[in-house]
Amino acid sequence: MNQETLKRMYTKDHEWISDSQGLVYVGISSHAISELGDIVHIELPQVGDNFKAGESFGTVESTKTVSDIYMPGDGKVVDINSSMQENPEAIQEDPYQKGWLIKIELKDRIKSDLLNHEDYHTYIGKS
Amino acid sequence: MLSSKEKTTALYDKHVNLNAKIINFHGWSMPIWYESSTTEHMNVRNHIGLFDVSHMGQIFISGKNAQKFLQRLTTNDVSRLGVGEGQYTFLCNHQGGIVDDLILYRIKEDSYLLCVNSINIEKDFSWLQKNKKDCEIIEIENQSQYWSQLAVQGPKTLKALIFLEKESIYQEICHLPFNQIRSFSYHNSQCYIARTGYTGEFGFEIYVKNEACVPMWNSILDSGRDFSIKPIGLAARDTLRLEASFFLHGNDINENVSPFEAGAAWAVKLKKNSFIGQEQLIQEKEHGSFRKIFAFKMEDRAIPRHGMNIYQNKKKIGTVTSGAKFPSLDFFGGLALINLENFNKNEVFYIDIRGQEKKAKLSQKPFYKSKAK
Repeated sequence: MNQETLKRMYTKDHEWISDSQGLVYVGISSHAISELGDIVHIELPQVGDNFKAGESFGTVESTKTVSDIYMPGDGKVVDINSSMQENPEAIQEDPYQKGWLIKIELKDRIKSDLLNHEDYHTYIGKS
Repeated sequence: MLSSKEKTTALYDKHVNLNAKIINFHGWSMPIWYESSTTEHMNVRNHIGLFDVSHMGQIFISGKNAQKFLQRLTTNDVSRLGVGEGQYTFLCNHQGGIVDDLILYRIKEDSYLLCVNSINIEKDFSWLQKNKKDCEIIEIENQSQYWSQLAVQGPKTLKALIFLEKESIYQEICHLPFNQIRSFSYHNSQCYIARTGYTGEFGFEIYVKNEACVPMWNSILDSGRDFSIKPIGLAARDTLRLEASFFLHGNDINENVSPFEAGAAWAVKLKKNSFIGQEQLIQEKEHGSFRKIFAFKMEDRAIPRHGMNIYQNKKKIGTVTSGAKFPSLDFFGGLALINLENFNKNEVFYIDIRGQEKKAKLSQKPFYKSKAK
C-alpha cells in the first residue's frame, strides 16, 4: 500500500478525502462507483461556494440513479475538477487521482467519523 | 441477496455467473447491467445484444370468437392481421386511458398471442376476463409463467441466430418482415420468433418455453461470439428504447393517458367496429387533446428524470415522463407530458432539476434512427 493510499480517509457516505499541502481533495470511492454503475453526469459547485459539514455539494448520476456528494467538514471550495464534469465516465478509470472532484479549504477539523483505508474496506464488507 | 418473494427467470444463474448487478424490478430479480450499461447500449447499436426479457407476459387467446373479442378490447384493427402477423396496439379503459400497450400476434387462424408488460400481466389478464361476454367462444390463458422471452437486437443479429439453420427456420427469418412472427421447434419445444424489438435496431424477440431457454441463450451467445455479442441489462434496454422514443407503460403512458395524447393515433382505428374506449377517443379526436407527449432535448447539461416539473413563462406546463443521457447521441433528453393550453412549442422551457432550472426545447421523435434498416 503506498503513502497516498495510507493517508486517504473515507466517509460512510463513500467520499474519500486526502490532504495535500493544507488543502483537502474530495472524491468518491471506487466501491461507490462500482455500485452506481456507469457515471454519466457530475454536478459540481462553484469555486468560492461555502458548505457545512454533511451538506450536499454536488451530485453524481448514473444511468439509473442520482447520488449526493457530501462535504466532509465546514469549508470553502477553492477548485473544482471541471474535466470530470465534461467527461464524467473518466472517473471510473482513476477515482483517486485524476478523478478528484473538488479541493476545499477547511474551516475547522474534519468531522470525526472518518474511516481509514482498512476500516472503510471492512465497513463495505471487502477486506 | 435474493429474497424469497422475488421472481427469477430461467436464466437467473446465468446472470449471476456473468457477474451481473441484479436488482428487484417490480418483483423480478433482473440484471440491470453486466459490466457497463453504456458499453452494452453501444454494443446493441454497433454489433449484437442479447436480452433476457422473460419478465414480459404472454397471454394466449383462442377460439371461434377470438378476433371479435380482441377487436372489442384493443384499439388497432385486428381484422388486418393475417396469420403470422403482429401489430402494436392498446388495451384502453372506458375513459380511453391506456390499460397497457402490447404487441398482438395472430399465430393461427383463431389463435392470438399478446405480449404484455410485466408489471401489467395480472391486471391485463383480469381486464380481458372481465370483459369477455358469456356468449363468446374463446379461451384466455395467461401462460406467462411457462414462457421465457429473449430479445436479440443489433445490426448483426442474424449472425447470432445462425444455429437455427438446423431448425430450417433460419432462411425464413432472414427475410421476415417487421412485426411478423413464426413458430418453430427447438429442443423438442415450441418457440415463436418475431421481427420486433424495443431498441430501434434490427432484431428479433424469441418466445421459448422455460425448459428450452438456457440452451437457446447459450446457442445465441455461441453463434454471436465472433460478432461481439454481449448480454444486455435493463439499464441499457431503457436508454435504447428511449433513444428510439418507445414508451414505457407506467412511466410515459398509463391509465390516465390516451393513445392520442401519446401521439400514437396510428394504433387507434376509430372506424372499426365498436371497442372499449372508442366513444371517449372519438370525442377527444373531435375536440383535440389537452395534453401531449413530446420528445425534448436539453440545452443545459443535466439529466431530466421521471416526475420532474416543467415550466414555461413561470407556469407549470407539464412533467418529465422519461429522461436520460443518450449514449449513442451524446446529449440529454427525454419524453414529457405537456399541457397544450399554456405551451408555446417554439420557445424553450425549463425543467426543475433538484431546484435548478435547466433549459430544454422540443425535439423530433425518435431521437435515434437506425442506419442499418
